[in-house]
Amino acid sequence: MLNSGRLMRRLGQTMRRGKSATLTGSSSARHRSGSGLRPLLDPLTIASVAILLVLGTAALLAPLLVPGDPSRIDLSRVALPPSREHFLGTDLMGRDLLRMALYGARISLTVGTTAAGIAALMGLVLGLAAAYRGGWVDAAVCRLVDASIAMPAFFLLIAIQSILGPSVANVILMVSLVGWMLVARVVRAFTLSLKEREFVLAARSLGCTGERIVFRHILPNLLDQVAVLYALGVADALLMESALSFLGLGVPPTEPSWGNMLSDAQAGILSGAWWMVVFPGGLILLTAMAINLIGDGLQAFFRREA
Amino acid sequence: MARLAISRLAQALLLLLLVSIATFCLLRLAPGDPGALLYGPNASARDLAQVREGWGLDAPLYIQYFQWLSHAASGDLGRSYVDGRPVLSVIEERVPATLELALSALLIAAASGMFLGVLSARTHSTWLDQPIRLLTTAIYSTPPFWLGILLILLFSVHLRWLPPGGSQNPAGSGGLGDLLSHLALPVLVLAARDAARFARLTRASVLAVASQDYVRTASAKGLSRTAIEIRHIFRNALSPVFAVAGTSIPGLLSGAVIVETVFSWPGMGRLVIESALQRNYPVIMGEVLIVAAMAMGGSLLADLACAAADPRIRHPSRG
Repeated sequence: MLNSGRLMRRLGQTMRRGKSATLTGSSSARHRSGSGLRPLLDPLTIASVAILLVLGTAALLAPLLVPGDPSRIDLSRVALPPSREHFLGTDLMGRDLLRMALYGARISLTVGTTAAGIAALMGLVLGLAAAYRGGWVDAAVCRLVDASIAMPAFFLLIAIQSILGPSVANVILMVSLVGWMLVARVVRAFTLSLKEREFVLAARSLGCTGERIVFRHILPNLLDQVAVLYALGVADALLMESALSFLGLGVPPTEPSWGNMLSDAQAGILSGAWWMVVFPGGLILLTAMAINLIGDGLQAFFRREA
Repeated sequence: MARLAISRLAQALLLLLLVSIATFCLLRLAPGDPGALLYGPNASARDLAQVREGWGLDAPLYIQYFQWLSHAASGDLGRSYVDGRPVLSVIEERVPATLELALSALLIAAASGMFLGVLSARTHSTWLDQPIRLLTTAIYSTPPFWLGILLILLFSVHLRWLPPGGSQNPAGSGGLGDLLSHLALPVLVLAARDAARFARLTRASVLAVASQDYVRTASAKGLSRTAIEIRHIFRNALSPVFAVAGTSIPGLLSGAVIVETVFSWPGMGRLVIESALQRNYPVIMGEVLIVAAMAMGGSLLADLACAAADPRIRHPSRG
């Protein structure tokens, strides 16, 4: 009895140890078993990826799907409601809204992905430099982040944009100027903790140069965080672009973009032309939402993996 | 406490100085001659030179900045290029409308966000989780100007319940009811995003506190669920949420630009758009500076209020 009791206890201990080993063990083991991918297999995330794929493909193939010049004015077809000929209707200048929406998607998606990319890169470089160099670099970056976050960004952007004038490149610049702070903050915090981890200390004691430690040991461990922030940043950038364009300070009014379509639609509200308002705005909402949900999914995935 | 206040104040002033230098340089380096804007394209060279000299635009940039700074310190932010009125009084008359809008939005966002956050924390890991997540994500992803236009379409054009814009009836102020009916839609649009943010924060905070040991102790003691929630969970979970209220201020002021444009609300946001389209640099400059000061003052007050309420912030060294 006594013996078996001890046996049981020891068995229990090993089982517990075994269990704890899988809880804190290597993430790749769970990764392979498939359960780690669950957050990405969530139906909302899958639907979001599908929506973005369809939209992206349609935007890429716009010249094939809806041939013709998106800004061609046709005054014989002004403000037509949706029909078989014009799926989304036409606007006050007789332009086909579906064609404009698909060509607009090209500009809006380009601005969103590029601006968020520049912002992520800026944040990554500044955050890494601040955390790794420390000292006055850190102090300067932190103050800059604080100042940029405390500032109601729109006022400054409008001031700058009124000088630069509307162009797609300027919109990308403006939007990335607002998006880098969060990335810098997160990258800085993560780098500070990574810097003290054993593998970095080991690399340093082996005589690795600073660059090698940053690029080979710290940077790869930051990329999942940056990927999440990038995804959320694309959604924000998309909304920002449409807002600037709506105010007449974004993409030049002659080019199709979702914000410009809504800006034009304002004139159609009182005549009851709901389609000019509902479709472009709905597209922005749908796209931003899909990107946000993918960002959430990525975040849950990486959190489980870590 | 006093030490904290002084160091935060010094930081805010430094930031303000940085903002002023940045905007000053940007706006003075801008293309386009204000004299040409004043006299039109057919202005003579003499007129232009006179304007440049009169406004001190012919001095070196840093001299202009220090001149401007010393004037600004005494409340003189220059004159509007458009009508020659002092910038400060042009902006001053727009401040109350924006404050009205932003503070109401903050109040509504905080109240409704905390309520929804508590509600969603109580129903967590039930079938309601996904719909709530979808709803908050949708609110985050809605372009505010679009929401504004849709609300105008519904409530003003279609149902005719609320005015489509402006801050009061043209016939004159109709009292509180009139004000509220004009405020309703803009405040709703401005508050939506922050309400979603508050809801998310509250939910996370309540769930984190609910898994603490002292909550388990309280329930082991046999306290009722309501008593635990009110005395042990909400009190501890909501204070960090209040702490971030200060961080909403810059976003609310930024959002006011869009909301004021959509609803023709006569505030600072619309003023900056009007001035930007007119290249009215002194007004833009003054706006940027005043808005920055307002945002920093607001977060300073919020920080100090939190420090007063929470000893952990007041004495960080004691952990």
